[in-house]
Amino acid sequence: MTSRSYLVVTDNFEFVEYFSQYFEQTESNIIFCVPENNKSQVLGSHNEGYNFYHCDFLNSKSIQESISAILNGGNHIDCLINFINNNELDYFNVDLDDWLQYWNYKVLGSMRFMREIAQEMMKNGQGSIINILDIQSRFPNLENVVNLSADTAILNLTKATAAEFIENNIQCNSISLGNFNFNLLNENSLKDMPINDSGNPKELMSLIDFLANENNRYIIGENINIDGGFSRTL
Amino acid sequence: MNLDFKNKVVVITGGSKGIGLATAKKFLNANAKVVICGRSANNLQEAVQILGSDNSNLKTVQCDISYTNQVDNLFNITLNTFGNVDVLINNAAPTSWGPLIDEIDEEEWLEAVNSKLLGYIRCTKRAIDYMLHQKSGRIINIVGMGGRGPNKRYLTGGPINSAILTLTKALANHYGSQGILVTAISPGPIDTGHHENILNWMAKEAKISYQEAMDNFLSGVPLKRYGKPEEVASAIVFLASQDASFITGSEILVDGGRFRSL
Repeated sequence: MTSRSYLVVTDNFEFVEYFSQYFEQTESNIIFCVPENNKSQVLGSHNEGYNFYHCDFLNSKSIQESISAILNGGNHIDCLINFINNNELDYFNVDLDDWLQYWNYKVLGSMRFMREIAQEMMKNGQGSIINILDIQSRFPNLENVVNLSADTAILNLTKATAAEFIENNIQCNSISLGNFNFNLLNENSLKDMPINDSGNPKELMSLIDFLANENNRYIIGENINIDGGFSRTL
Repeated sequence: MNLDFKNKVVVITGGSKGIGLATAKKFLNANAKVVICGRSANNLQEAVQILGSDNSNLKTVQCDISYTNQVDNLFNITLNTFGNVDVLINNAAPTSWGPLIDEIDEEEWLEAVNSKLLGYIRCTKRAIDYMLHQKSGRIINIVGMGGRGPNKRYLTGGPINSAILTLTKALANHYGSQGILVTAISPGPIDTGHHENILNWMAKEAKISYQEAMDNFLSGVPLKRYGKPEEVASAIVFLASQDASFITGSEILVDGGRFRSL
């Protein structure tokens, strides 16, 4: 495990806890950027003491201001983790304006952070971007397709930008999650799992640590499944 | 092959030009009743001249699928004219090529999502309403090669097209048991004029001529040529036919072998 500086963009509070618990052992600098309206939920947990910044994922200017505040606070960023997955929109009941707003929040939000942080990483001469997705985006159910189709879009974005970013020594990859207690698969998906247990968050954190490692610079635009064997197709 | 669509009603969005127009022609030749829609009244008028102005099996509707009320109007006219919807071809709104990640215009990007992804969904939801009554139907989504081949200069269309592939799978999984089959066609480089913009970017970026960019591009296509809209239309008509009755959730690449990955 290597000490480095992480910026974690997320609206998943349980993920915040697991990430903190694992990477504090490495004496890494961990900065969380969470949506403004989730402030009380995040700070209500045992995460007090970590660096939290709040911004509007829908607004480029708000993101730029948060990143400026982070950097002006003496931080630099080695690794950006994008894990935006808080969504309760159901295909059968969704208003299409809400669907569009969700893409603005999640897909364009991820793109906004990638764009802004990549500029800082270029100045530093290296960096790593990891987008965290749901494995069900490749085995989608219709109820959750609002979220899952956004994940596929981010997978495309990951691969599309990887070649450009690596010219500046910035790796861009993604991880597709199976059943973790902060990313539960639906019941039908669980029926097709080779193992009954949910994933151990430490295994995911270990994978993040591996992908963020500057010695692994030949893994570019890759998507790694950590799903207990759920996806067994070519 | 059984390609007779007598008494079948086919709705084709983006039907006034290119792949949509070629598809309309093939369905009309196979005795289908065809509704084509497009944003431009002039393009629709030109399409009518090509398809036959006296053809009682053809109906045109001016419609921008970015707007729910216009999609509602499209399907209301279809039902009033032909009484049913058997096949929906979602083929509209080509998305632009060019901007890198730090050049994306966010408003244009969101408008493209609204126009293509949500446009397909608007049409799909309306078509499925009717298809569920008859417990049969075909929906074919025309996706575009950026969905399968991510590119740094296709950051609008690429993610949207990938999302449409996910949507295709999800719809197929859900509605298969109710007789509605949903598939996708990913055309590669097709001679519709749309690819000129891509070649211009490639030439500019590599500092080579347009012709050299074209030669370079085609060197990566095993068939060494552009496809014709009619070749994509043939695959679409096949997927809509009774001969494709066990195909759902699948994507067919009509790309001259351009994508060679598993």
